[in-house]
Amino acid sequence: MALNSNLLRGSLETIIIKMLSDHGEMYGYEICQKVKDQTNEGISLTEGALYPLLHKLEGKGILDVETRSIGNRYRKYYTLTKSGKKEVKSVIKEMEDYIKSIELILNPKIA
Amino acid sequence: MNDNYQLNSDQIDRLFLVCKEKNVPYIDVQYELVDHLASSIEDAICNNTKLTFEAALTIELNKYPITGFYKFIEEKEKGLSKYWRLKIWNLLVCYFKFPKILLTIACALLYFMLVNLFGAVALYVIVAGMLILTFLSRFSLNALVKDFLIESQVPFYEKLIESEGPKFKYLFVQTFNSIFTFIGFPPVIVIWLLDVSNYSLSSAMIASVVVILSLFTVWIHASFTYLPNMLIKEINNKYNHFNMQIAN
Repeated sequence: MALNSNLLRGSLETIIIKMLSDHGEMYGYEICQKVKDQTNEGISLTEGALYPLLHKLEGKGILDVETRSIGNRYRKYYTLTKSGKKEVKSVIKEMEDYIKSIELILNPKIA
Repeated sequence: MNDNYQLNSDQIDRLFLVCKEKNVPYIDVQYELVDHLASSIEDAICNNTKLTFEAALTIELNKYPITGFYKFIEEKEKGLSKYWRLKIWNLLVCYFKFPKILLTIACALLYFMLVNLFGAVALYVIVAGMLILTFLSRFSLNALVKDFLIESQVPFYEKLIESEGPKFKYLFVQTFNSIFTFIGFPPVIVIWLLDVSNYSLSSAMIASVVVILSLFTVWIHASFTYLPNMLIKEINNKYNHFNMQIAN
């Protein structure tokens, strides 16, 4: 089942940072496909959500971009900058804590 | 993501045309959109070999909102503005170190002495000189950007060059230019302060005006030297196929 877009919006930054941390450099379409594959099509990123966020992260100095030619066209590759790499741990920890808190709300018996 | 099937050059040209029809004037934004559309279409055709290019393109375009690529460009513009502001700020922070701090203080003292000797006239002369230098730095940057556009050969898109000449717009460069446009702002403030004071300048006002002008002197120096070099370095990093030469 595809994830509600409101739920996705808050976690998209973490997803992109984690993807780039795991795979090194990636291009936009590749990120969309990897997320789709890794979540068994549970999360489907739209271009309208992905690219604005990539540009925002680039503006904040978290991502770096390089354009390279591939065959008969150019492609933009995204990588984490030094400050982006520093943020990986804290961003993932933050998300894990959030998921644990939500889990406690959804399944109070666990607590 | 398939590695076997790739759209041909005519189909890539068609995608560029689609971007232009959808009001995407910037070539660097077009690169990204074209690559995304092409990758998606290639995948779709690989999965269904009966699908034609045009049918796959229609399916792909239907995924975008009714506003087309407007939001895409708007967000990219915002991101790039932030990017450049951060870069310019970092550059100025790095630039403003020991010997330059002393020179700035010396410059402020010189301006202060000139104003004490010649009054408001000296300030007008300094501001006029700065405005001239500001325009000169603006022109030199424009020439640099123009050179970049002419030098940037886009080998794959000869048809685009044939139809439009080397007049591509780059959002990356345009955003930098927009930030640079406000370069003349501090001297304008000084002129406003002078008008308000109606030639009778208090010591506090002279001191504040002199500080603004000294800091602006640093900015003018950076705008002739460090900023254009930073622009070229950034272009080379991001679009390394253009291979621009950095002036010394």
